Amino acid sequence: MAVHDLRNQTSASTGQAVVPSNEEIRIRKLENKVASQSEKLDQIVAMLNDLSKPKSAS
Amino acid sequence: MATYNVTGVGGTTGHPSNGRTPYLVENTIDVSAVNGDSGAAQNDVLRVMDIPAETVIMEAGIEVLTACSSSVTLDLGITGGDVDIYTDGDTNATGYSTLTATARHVAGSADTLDVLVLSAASSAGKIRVWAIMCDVSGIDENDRNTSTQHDTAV
Repeated sequence: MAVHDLRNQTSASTGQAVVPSNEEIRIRKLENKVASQSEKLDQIVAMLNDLSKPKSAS
Repeated sequence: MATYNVTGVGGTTGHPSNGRTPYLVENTIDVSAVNGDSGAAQNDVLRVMDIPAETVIMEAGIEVLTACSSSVTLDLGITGGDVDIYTDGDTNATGYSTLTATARHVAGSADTLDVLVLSAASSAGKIRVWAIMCDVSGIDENDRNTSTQHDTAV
């Protein structure tokens, strides 16, 4: 008789995990979406800042 | 015989929606991959889940995804306690194990939920162990009522 500890992820186990509710999954997706849009907005702001810089006379 | 009302304030106005809720924990085990792909020997214990202190396991069971080796039966419970409190001698046919009628387990201190491989060794099989747990630890364990109030029968 042996004891095999499979509580964490191993080659024989996925590891124990709390299964999130549908509501929590929806909130996580929403958070990811907001984070993604926030990054895009930062990029747009950076581009606008570049455009608004006074151009040197050439 | 007397009845003492120590329910405190609140009455029967219903339960709050923001109270603690039970949660589902799962762990999927490939029995054939246990012990360096040798599988589990007869009477081996598969430690599958942590039970935090002051937690009740409201229900738990095994879903057999792929059958184990022939003749294998499975228990699910607490090693050193009631080893088959949730599943007792499941014949490892695919599907959900039969739930026992035994009283549910409250872990006063941290413990583990274990699968016991019985009746034969198993070099095959995939099982998903699931448990619905709830934290039952107190947030106010001090008695602030006066002894007079306790001594007054309803």
